[in-house]
Amino acid sequence: MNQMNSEKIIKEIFIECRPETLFSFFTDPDKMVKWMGRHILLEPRIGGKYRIDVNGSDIAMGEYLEIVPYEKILMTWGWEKSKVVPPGSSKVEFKLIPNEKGTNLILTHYDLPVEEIPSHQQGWSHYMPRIKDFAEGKDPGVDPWSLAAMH
Amino acid sequence: MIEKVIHAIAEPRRREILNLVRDKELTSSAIASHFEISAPAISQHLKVLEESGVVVVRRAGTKRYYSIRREGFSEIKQYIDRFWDDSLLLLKEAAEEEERRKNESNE
Repeated sequence: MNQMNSEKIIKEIFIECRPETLFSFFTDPDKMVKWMGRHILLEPRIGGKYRIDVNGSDIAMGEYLEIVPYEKILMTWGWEKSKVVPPGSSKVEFKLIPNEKGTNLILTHYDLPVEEIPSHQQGWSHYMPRIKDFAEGKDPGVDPWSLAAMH
Repeated sequence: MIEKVIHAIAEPRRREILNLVRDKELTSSAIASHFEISAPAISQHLKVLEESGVVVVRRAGTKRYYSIRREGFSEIKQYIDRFWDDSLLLLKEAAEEEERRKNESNE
C-alpha cells in the first residue's frame, strides 16, 4: 500500500465494504472522526470547507473540490500554521474502486511542495512566496474561514 | 529539522546556491564567484544550508566542495506518508465494522 515518487504520495488499501459504506466516511463528520482527527467540521459540498483537528495541535484544513458520490472525493489539503504545507497548497484525492469483495481505496496526495524544490525552478516560484512569508514570521492573513464562519 | 530547512530555503541567495549545486559539486569559491556579495557572507549562507541538512560538504585539502543533499527535503514527506498510513488503517477498521453491522441488521 506504499508508494512514493517525486511529487506525490500514492496509497492503496483494500477495504471489505461497499463503496456506499466507505463514501460516508468522507462526508459525515461523525464517521470521519473514527479514522481522522478529534474534532471535525465539514461542509460536504463542492467549494465547502473542512477543518480537522488531527491531534490537538495539528489542524488540517481545506475545501472540497470534487464530490462524485461513491466514486471520488478531491479536496485541497494543508495544515493550519504549517510553513511547509499550508492550507490550499496541496490536494488529496480519494478514489473508490468497487470489486466483488469490497472496495479498493486509492489515495493520491498531489503537489507536495518540498519535492519541487530541488527539481526545477518552477517549483520555487510557485511555492516560495508562501513559504517565505511563513518562514519570516509574517501573518499569512486572516483565515478566510475562521471558526465563526464554520458555526 | 523541518524548521531549519524552511529557514534555509527562505533566503533567495541560498535558493540560488541550491540551484548551483543541484547537479554538480562546487567549491565555496566557485559558488562565491556567482554572487556580488562578499565571500564571508556566502560562507555564512553555506553554513546555514549545511546545518539544515540540505547540502553536504566534502573537504579536500584546503578546499570545501558543496553538493545538494536530497534526503534533507524528505522529512516532511515522511511525516505525511506516515499520517496517511495510520489514518487509512483506522478507516479500514471503521468502515469494515460498519459494513458488518449493516449486514447483521439485514439478516
